[in-house]
Amino acid sequence: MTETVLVIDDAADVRALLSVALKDAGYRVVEAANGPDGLETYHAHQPDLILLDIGLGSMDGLEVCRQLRAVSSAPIIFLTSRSDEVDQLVGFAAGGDDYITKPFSAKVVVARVNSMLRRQLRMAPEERTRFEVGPLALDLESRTARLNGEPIHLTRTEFDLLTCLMENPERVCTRESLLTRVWGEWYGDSHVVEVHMSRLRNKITSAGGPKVGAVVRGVGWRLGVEA
Amino acid sequence: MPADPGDAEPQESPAVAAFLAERRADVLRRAIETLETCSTADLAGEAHRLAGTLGVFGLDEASAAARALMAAARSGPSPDMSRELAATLEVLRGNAASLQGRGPG
Repeated sequence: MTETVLVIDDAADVRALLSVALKDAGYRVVEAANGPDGLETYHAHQPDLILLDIGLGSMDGLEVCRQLRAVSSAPIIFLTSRSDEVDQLVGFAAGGDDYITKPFSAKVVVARVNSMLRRQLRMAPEERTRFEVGPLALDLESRTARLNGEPIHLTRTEFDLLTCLMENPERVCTRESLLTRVWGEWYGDSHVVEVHMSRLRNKITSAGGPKVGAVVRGVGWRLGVEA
Repeated sequence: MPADPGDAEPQESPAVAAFLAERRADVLRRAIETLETCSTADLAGEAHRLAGTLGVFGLDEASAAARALMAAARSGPSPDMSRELAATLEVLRGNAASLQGRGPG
């Protein structure tokens, strides 16, 4: 089945370029020029991935991302002229999965889209689709996470990180292994792992769960939850 | 000798490279129109948007000029802003003339 990518950018020329590049790579593309239209287009087409410009008009990309995250776990890649680390962190905090700084090459954007959409295949071990450790449970087929039987809403990145930790709770996952498994090809700051791990931990503890992602200094992280 | 604006996209697919070559002159023309007509209040925002678009279309010098204009325009009208506006328009017109001289393809 052809996967659909939603491009939300107020620059018509950039939208047109991305549309050509993504269609050339075999994707179906839908477009929107501003935040409200982007949300409407999301609901109409249920895309598999969203490319979202941060610098939109009255409703900026961060707000669009927050609203999308309330209803969707589809990966969101921010497009922006802002390269500051602070802006990247704000983008991740809003629920973004990846970040591409303008000016970009269309080829790089397509590669990142490919990588993000193939991630789910990489993430799914053939032999196991369910993991349970203590109060936490993951179902890879339905992509659902539960805490004490109650669903918790995780972004795709948070879900994939938790999967890595829960596959073998005693194993330490290095930064490199997490970057490779969760992000695939990652060109940005490797501290992205800390940012998303922290968000995952906060989401679970604020729902009354245990503190996941125990730091093994100088090596990486392990689940840190008793079975 | 400086490279021509938008010299070949060696890494892009043929479809994308053709699109970039076909659209580049229009992108420059619209950028010039935008900067000639936009209000002082909108200048920083428009320059920001243009810096991204021009760069994505491989117009690196024009993108850098727009970025410098954005920085100058952020603090409001000033001689520096006027200077950067004139400099950016000069780069854009130079790029447009260079592309026109080169002709299609």
